[in-house]
Amino acid sequence: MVVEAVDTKKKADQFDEPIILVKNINKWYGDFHVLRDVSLSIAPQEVVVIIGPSGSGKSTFIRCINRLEEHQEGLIAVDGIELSHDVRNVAEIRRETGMVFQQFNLFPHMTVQDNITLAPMKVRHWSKEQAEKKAVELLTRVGIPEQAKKYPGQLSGGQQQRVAIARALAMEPKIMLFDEPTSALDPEMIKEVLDVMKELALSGMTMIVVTHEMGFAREVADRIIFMDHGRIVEQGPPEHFFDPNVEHHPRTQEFLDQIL
Amino acid sequence: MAAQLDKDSTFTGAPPSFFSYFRDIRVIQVVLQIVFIILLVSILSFVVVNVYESLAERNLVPTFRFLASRSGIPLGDSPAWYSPDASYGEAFFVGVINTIRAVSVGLVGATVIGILVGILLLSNNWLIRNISRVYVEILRNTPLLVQLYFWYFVVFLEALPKDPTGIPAPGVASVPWTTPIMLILIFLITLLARRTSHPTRMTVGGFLGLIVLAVVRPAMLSNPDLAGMVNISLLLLIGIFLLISFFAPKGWRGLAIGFLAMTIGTILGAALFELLYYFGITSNGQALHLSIYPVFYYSVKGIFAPEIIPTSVFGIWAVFIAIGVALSIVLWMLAGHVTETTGKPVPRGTYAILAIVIFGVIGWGVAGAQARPPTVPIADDEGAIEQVPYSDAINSDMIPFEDWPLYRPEPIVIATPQLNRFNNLEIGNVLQPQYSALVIGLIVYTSAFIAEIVRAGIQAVPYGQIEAARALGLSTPQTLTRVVLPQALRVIIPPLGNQYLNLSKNSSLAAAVAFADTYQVGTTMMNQSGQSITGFSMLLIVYLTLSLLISVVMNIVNGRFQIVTR
Repeated sequence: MVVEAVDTKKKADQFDEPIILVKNINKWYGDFHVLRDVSLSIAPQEVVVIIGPSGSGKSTFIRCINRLEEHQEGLIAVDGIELSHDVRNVAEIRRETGMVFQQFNLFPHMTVQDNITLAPMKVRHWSKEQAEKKAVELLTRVGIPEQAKKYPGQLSGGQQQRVAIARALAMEPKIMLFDEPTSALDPEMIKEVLDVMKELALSGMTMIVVTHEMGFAREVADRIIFMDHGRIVEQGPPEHFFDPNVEHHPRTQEFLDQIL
Repeated sequence: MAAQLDKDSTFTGAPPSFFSYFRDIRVIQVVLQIVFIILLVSILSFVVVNVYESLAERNLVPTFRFLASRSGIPLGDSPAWYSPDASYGEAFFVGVINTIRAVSVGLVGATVIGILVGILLLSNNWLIRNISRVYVEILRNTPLLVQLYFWYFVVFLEALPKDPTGIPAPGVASVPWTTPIMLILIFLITLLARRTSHPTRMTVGGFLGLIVLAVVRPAMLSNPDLAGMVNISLLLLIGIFLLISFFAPKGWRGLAIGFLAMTIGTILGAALFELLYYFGITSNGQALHLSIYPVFYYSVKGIFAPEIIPTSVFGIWAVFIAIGVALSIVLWMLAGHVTETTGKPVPRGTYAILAIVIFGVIGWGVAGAQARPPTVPIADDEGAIEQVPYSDAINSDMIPFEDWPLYRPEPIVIATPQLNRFNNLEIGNVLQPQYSALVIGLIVYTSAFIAEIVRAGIQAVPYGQIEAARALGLSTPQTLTRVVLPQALRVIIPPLGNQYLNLSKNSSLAAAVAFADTYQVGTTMMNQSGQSITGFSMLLIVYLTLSLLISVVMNIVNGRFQIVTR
């Protein structure tokens, strides 16, 4: 059992072997078909930005990757582990996957430092000393080392979102999922969060980002995916998307015309 | 600009006059307050002077002196020292004690049931959810007074049997001394099994071993033909299981290991006690001798409960328990330190409980060995005192109940209710129907409100918090204890405090079920003595003290759960 797990991990680490593999997943909310035959494979260190109109299923899609939502058909494998109903697989995938939410979802009853050290201590069984060292290191990385002893309610939105990123990174995940991380922020705070995300992308983290920030997509993304009505309509590198001479799918063209 | 405006206003405004001074809002506020205080003081003094004069006419000037005179109040639920000959002050004191008795049990009961029902209200199971919903809706939508009448007149006075039936003669039901060892082993095996890949199989194996030792071994020992073979056959069994464990498929080895652990553990335990006996530390198997009694009986006369009586060797046992508790505290802190410095999860609760249990069992045995006089004086049928060897006396029921605490080997004796021939209680505790009806009524009524508060508190935690915890990889129990509960408590505690205050004040409805609480004794006292002003101020002080005490405690608790927001 243990031996098998090691083997699959080795495979995933090999070059060009996808770290996230999604095959023909379908999901319904009652009668509403949210995800239709979505297939995707993401290589290690790749930065993928998902864009699309609201209700197109992009948030639902990335929430399926760490089982915050359950898909009804198809296969999702993360880092060689299939996302099945086995609770151990789900737990393992969640350990390897960090997530940042639109509404930050920091724990308001804990200090910034406790927010960051909670999961490493409880899930990874690190010592308090080790977890706190990591917290200081990450807070320095996101640019707010002086806020460790404050509570989330005492921070600005941008600072809270940076703490949320640090909290997700503390688990040393292989993949980071961003669900509209800047949509709840004031325009001036968007930049400080995007800067942290850029730095993270450059450091080689595998990232899936759902966002409306086209500047970020153009600058950082390796690949942009356009989703509509639960389908992947078009995907390609940023040059492809932002080149006015390329002929796009009519639905993509309509969306790009509205936001660019 | 500002200077300009000021200048303009002084130029254009009307010249200040005597009346414009009284239009100043600051002056108005001060004047109004002075007028209000003058009014209040004059009304109060008018009332007080009037009341005092009219009472003086009737020779009833308020005084506390009447508290020392004979009350003549018979109280149903009172301590042994109380009789109608006691003073008013003592009667009132009994009333206060009774209120505290009802309120304290009521608070604990309502909290426990309320939390349970509150969680069940959120259950995914349709049936459980809706049963809880109906419970809450029926109870919180009918008046408490009606419910108290229901409990008292319908349940306690109508539905229950007129006389307590089925209460047996006093006796000692024995459990073999191997029981506690087996319980500890079961505990250890389930603990160990949790860490293996097939916990169920290992636990099942452990229970199989238990059955062999608890059923097969005694059965073989009781048969003289088989007694000699007991140990050989057990060795054979162990051998077979050892073989199985070698050749069994991987997953099934746990079964054999569980079985082996149980068998060998119990035999080692038996050997240990044989050794203890050999060195005179325990008095044979009797030292570790547990007694089990039936527990509760119900009748119109109330709920009959057992009485726990410490015996002469209780002190020795208490010392062992104290050592166990101290050790468990040390273990608890040590385990916490280990988790903090190395990150390794340590089952600190298990270690702590184990320390207390082990010391409790050893202490039980050691204490039993001390309670062993060579002979015990027993009165025979003619009343002549006769010295009987201890071992004979203890194994039969010759020792009269009153002498149990002196001679029993157990540190504590749990005595079942005993009735004399007038069907009144002689031994044991009784919860009178009035008290039971009041407490059950208060618990059930208040628990419905607490259930709603708990449900609302849990639902007040945003779902995003649970998602964030899950996304970080926290388990469901960790999510509950670290993320959801601390935030839910912040919402739950203030309204919970209100419900506690309601319960403590609602206890004054005890008069409806004829329970002698503060209010009932207080009003009787006032009627008899005519000292209504003194009586009401005493009632006021008692209920105010009780309420303020609850408020202070809840405020302290509340302060601990508030979240810093800026």
